[in-house]
Amino acid sequence: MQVRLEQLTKAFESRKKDSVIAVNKLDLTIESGKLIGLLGPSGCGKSTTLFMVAGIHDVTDGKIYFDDRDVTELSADKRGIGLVFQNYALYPHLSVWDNIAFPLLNSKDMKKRLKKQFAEQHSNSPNYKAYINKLVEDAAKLVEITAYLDRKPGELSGGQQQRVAIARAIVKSPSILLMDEPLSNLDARLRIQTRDEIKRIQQQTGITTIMVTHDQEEALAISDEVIVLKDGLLQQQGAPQDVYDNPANQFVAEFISRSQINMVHGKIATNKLYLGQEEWFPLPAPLMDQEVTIGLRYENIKHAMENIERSFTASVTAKARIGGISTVQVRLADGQQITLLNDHDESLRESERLNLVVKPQSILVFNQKGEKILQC
Amino acid sequence: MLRPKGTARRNRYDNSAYFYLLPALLLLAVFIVYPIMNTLITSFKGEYRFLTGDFEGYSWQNYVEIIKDPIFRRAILNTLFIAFVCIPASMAIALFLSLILNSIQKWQGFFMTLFYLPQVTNVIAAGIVFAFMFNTNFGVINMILGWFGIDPVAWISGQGIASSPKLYHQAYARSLFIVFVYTVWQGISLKIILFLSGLQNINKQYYQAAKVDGTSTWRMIRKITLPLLSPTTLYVFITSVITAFKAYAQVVALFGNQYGPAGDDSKMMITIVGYMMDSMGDYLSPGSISKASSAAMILVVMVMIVTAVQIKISKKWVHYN
Amino acid sequence: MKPQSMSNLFRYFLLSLSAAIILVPFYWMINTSLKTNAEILRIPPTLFPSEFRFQNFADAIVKAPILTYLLNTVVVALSVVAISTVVSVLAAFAFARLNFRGKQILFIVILGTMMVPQEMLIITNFMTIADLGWMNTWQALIAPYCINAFNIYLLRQTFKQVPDELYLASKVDGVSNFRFLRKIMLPLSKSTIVTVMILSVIWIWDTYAWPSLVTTKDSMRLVSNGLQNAFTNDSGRIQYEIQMAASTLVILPLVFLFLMLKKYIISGMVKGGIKG
Repeated sequence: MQVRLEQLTKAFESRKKDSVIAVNKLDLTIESGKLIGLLGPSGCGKSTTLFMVAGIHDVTDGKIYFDDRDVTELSADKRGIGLVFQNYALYPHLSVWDNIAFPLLNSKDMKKRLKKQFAEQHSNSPNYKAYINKLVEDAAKLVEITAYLDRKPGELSGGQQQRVAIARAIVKSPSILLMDEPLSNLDARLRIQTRDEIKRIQQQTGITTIMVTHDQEEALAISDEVIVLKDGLLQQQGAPQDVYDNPANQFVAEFISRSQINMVHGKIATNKLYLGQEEWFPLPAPLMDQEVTIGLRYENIKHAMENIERSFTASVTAKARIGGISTVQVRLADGQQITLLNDHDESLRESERLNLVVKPQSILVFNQKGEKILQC
Repeated sequence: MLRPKGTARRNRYDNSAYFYLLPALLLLAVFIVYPIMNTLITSFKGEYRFLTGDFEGYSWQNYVEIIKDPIFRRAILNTLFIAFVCIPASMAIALFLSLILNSIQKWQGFFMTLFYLPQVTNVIAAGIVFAFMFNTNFGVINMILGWFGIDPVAWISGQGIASSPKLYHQAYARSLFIVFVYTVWQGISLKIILFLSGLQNINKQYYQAAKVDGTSTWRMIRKITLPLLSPTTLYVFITSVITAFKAYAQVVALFGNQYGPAGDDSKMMITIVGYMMDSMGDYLSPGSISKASSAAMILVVMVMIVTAVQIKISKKWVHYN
Repeated sequence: MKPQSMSNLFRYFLLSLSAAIILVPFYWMINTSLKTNAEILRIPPTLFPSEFRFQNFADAIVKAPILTYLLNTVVVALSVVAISTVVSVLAAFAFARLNFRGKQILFIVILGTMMVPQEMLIITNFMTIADLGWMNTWQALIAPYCINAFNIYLLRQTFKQVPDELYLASKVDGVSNFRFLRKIMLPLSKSTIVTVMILSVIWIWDTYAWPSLVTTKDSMRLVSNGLQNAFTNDSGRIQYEIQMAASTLVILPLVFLFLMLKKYIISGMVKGGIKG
């Protein structure tokens, strides 16, 4: 199912007169069957957006459409969504089976729907009770927790609880699955495992899925598309690699690179780009004279054999090695420090002078407002 | 405005809430709110006749009359005595015991159960037991005193008090003592539980930090435990005030409906609630219900004053974190 | 300086001594209730009955209608527990979970009524009951006890501790408020519910003033009122052993109930406690 947000706005009233705007005129279209990573730093409005789509938060202004249906005023239970909470929100006194079956057994609308389905489908189940049991077991099978159906949530690990939460959300075959920071409560190892699991489940079911996360690596790894928010405003939407390669602005560039990017001060004067105070290269197209910030990702800065076009020199100040990744810090002529990957783990000496060059199309130039004015 | 007209906000108010509240609000209105209002009004009605509802205007007359009544004055004095002796005493004992309880590892639940037992008795039944314990010849108290060579004391006795003020005062002091003992015994259970739960909410890190600094136990209690426990202490105090000021059943249990030892006809141990009950029992005579109401109002005002003063002072000694 | 100023042994000694003092009345009551009349009159009194006279309990039951009183108390207590628990749970749920106009003010009013001594209310309640023609009826004994501000407060505190997400999750699944209360809230608040119930029982068991006002017939009285009857013999002397047997009969049921449920009560008191 396609999800479309039109000018979606949420203002939280605060004690004082002025309200806080958490989500600001958001326009978005999420295509059917996709896994979407809703990404941004904390307080950017991503969870608020998710909860508005879920129908838990009221909408201050704007519309939400599921396909062509306006669901803005519809209550949560009428929207046909499954929701997975950050802390899983499992009922601690009920067994895993009861938790998964809870949505099926405790809503009048759902019961009506299931009875109808049961009658129509002539399923293999001998009776309605067996039919419910089959639905629960199918969901459990999908998330691979059939072995724990009799346990209480407290007897499960965090990863297993997460699976139960997902099973409970998909057992009612929702047309949209919403997940709020599904991985944030897991340890690093489980996070990677569960993240791939979410991808698999999404692909197997084909449910349109929106996953809120503050971890860009998580989003980039499994999403079909990421949406980056900041201060309630849409920054960029697109395929992960595309957003990574072509960030729309300085914020996205920094956020997506997880600080593996140098933001170097520079300027544009008479259609030439200056790296620090040094003239670097002439612009491909004319731009106004101004101060700029130049974004250079660690991995895009390479050693150049000789003094070729667009190369620059810097001297080594420090080396570091974290696990398998080595980095070098170098100093530009004007004293600014930049970091790059030391790909071949070359034995560089301190204050050695290096000749550096940047991969084509990966020099990102931002104006003082953080807007991207050039990528070359 | 961010919200154009027409887009009503859903979920803002859940009107079904009133169905959930209805039974409670109905009962609250009939049996609590209305009685408070009505008691206030009735206390000002002159010559109020309960059966017909007739009365002669509103005035302070009832208040003036009961304040002039020596029995009511005695009731106020006794009530204040009970409050000002039993509240500090029972709070101190409860605090002391819960501090020890909190510091032990084994048997905590066992002792807590024992200490809670007075709470689950019946106030009249336990009072009768206390009266018998203080029996001159057959009581356990005199028996224990006997072990230390002390002659039997006639604890609950009004012999000769009508003619001798000295004997009267002695009998009065002994009777008060018994009421104090019984009231403290009754009251410590709840206080221990409340103090203990307060103590268990105090973060252990504070103690560990202090221990590293080599702070002594007593200093730790004074500088860490008591300040951090102060919100609990205030809560215990306020509930104790309410309980202590309505003292009544324990006096009846110990001394019977005459509020005094046999031989006393001055209602020696009467309390404010006792005075109220007596006036109400006499409901057929004009003005007695409104006198009971005035007594009730005086009681409420006293409770409110003590509570308000304490809350005001508490700003100095209660630490909320 | 030693890290601990009181040795462990001394602490246990102090606790045991205090417990012993607190238990003296219980011991003296049971001790006396089992003695013969002749042994009662011995001076000094004996610490242990030389022979057990269980007949005292039978005598107490014959002399005063203790059994009727106990039965009446049980009937009233069960009715109050049933009604007031339902009333309190519903109200507490509204205060803990639902949004409605006037929530703050109503809650403050309910908290405020905890400050008012119950005794102040009985004047008007007595008039109300008399006006309704309810003197000497069950409803007169039950109705005023069905509203209890403290129970509402305690339950609301407990309900508030159930995470919001559980409620939201059930909302997304189309679970009604009442069903959520029944299926999730109540099972998760079991210990407080039991606490509230037993507090109601203690309240009724202890109540004295109210029943003595609204009942005049022996057949409608509660235990507290029944005990007031002096147990005197033909010559007008009080029969202490029978008095104590009657007191034992009144006190023990509640003590047993408490001992059976103490796990819930203590955790319920601590949980609801005074936080927030």
